[in-house]
Amino acid sequence: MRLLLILTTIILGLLAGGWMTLQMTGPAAHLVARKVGQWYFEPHAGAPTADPYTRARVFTTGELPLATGEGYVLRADRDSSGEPLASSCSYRLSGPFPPARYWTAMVFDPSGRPLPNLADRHGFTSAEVIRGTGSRFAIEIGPEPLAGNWLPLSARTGAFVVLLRFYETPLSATATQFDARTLPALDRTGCLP
Amino acid sequence: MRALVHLVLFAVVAGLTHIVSIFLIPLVTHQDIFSRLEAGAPVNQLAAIDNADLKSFPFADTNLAVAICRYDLTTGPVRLRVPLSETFLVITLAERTSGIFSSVSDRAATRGVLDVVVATAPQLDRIARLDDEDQAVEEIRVAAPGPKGLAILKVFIDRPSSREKAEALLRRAQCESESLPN
Repeated sequence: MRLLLILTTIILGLLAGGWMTLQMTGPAAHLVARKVGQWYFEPHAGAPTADPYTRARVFTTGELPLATGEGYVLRADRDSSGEPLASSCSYRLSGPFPPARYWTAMVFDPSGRPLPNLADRHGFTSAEVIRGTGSRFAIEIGPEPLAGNWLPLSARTGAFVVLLRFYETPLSATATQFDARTLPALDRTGCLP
Repeated sequence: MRALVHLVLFAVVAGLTHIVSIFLIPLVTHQDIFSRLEAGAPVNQLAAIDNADLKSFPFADTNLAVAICRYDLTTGPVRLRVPLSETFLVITLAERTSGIFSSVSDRAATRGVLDVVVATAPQLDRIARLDDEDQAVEEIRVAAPGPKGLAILKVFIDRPSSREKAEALLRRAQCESESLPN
């Protein structure tokens, strides 16, 4: 009886330990990432000095992180007001983009697959984006055609994720002093009824 | 009292399982990008990753032309040569169980070519001894932590029309094992 109790405790301990690992490395784990505004940022994902949690996460998600000298990635699954991103709504990505030789803005489903759409457009690069006066620009993300730089969503997709990649930046990826005011905003502009 | 013993046992087992599994994941998993890129790739030879394959990797940036070279340094260092691109070009070096250890971008290129030599520490010592003292070293030497790894070559595609150019550039790239003279 006593042995059975000990065995049960050990099994429960194993399960709890495994569960904690899943929580820390799974797609919903934001614990290892820094958060600036609505952007998540993993400064050491592409560095040999990555901590064990970051490394475990890189190996479970199957992503290719940017090496520290190469640039950095910002990721958002919520808009500026903190609401989860939904493909039935429209969003405007605008404001200051951190300096970089090139950047890309892309949308994915939460597991990282490109979102299917008729235009077969999944993102913009810094060279493709149409700029207005003073090289200002905004990227419109939504299910209905929008004027300007439109990234189409399919209303049926549900949740989605926005990824910004900055290649070759004067700011190093390990610079953790990001401020929300120096990063683009992702504002909701409307929703389908 | 007995409940407390069980609680402590539970906490210890849970904690240990958690810590051990966090460290084991990179060693045992095969779903990570490094294992997936390495699987089936020829050794000391370049292999292009086509755009459809690239799309199958989670959150992949498809605005890149990608080629990989799975290197093995046991017979000698490996030299990677990539002609310069008008856009961003980077070589990322990684090992299957530890991830990225280095990267070299086109800013480090000389005479229109990004020339990188990947070698183990003892090989680097020998290369340094063989260097001609009067000549500047133009290649970039990277110390690999182990003899086997992966070089990922990426060329940025700034607009769809430059895809062909970027892919052609990677076809002209080289990845070759070199033998050191005794």
